[in-house]
Amino acid sequence: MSPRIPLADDAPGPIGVPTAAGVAPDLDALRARISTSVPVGVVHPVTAEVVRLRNARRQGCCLCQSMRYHAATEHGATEEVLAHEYVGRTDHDVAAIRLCDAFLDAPAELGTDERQELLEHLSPGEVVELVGRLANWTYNKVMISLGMDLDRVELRPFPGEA
Amino acid sequence: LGTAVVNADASGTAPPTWREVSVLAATCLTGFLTMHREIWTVVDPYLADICRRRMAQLLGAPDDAELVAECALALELPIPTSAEITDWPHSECFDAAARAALAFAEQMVIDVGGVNQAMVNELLAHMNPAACYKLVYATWLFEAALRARLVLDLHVAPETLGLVVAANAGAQA
Repeated sequence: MSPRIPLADDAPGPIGVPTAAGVAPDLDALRARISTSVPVGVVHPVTAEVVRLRNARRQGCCLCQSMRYHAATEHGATEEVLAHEYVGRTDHDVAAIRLCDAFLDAPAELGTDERQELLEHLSPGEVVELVGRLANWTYNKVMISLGMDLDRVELRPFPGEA
Repeated sequence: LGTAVVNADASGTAPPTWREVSVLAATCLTGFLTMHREIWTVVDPYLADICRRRMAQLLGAPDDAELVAECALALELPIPTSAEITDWPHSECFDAAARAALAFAEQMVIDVGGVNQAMVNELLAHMNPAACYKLVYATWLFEAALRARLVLDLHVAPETLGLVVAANAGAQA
């Protein structure tokens, strides 16, 4: 892909794709002042990686599909476990994927019964953290729409991680 | 905060309810809600708001679609009704810039992979690259925040998001 808007700097940024930093300094300043990040710590790293990759595949983001969090691989997130078709998924992680799909498909249609079923496997803290992180992971839509994704999936760790 | 809830679950007390989720969410999503309220200061509020309203319609949130950005109201431009926004391809309310923005916003919600250079060029025909990037960022922010609020059943006051109830915005879609 090539960027669809003129960038301040065409050189790849630290994660290997161009960055929109500098295009809109007032937005950069706002983002520096206000973080949309959510507190992290309740969700198991492997569950988080499973959900992050679910979103990556659903959006068709090559960059997100290429990255692996060290914390996840360190806790057992092998390529087999992270594969879309993995059959050994726990009920807990299946519930996490259902929550992810509700967010990505038709969030207004998540019913009372479905919510209670999710809580049979996920704690309230896990639900909130997963949804908050998922909301941030969908930033890949900005990257994709502006032509700032990779052309293909190439496995790599997140920058700065072992 | 979340850890405390997990521990409570393990203690054998009453099963958790979605009410607990919604209460936790109000704290956890503070950054998203604050950014939603502040983003209006850096974008074209009229264009960003009609995109937000169209996305709310597509995501099944008609009440959100009837709210209007306070910054957009301040422009004293005619506020499109919900029906006009639903029917934007045929409505005479919208100029070429608004149509380019609405087309982009719809595609972002439906399938981001369908956004192409031509759609971005349509935006760039009416705004500079900085305004284009900010509009794209805003559409992501609005969509992500609304999806999160809907899934978590988090209800917030409109002013928390920089929105207000406008008397003439809610004509039937």
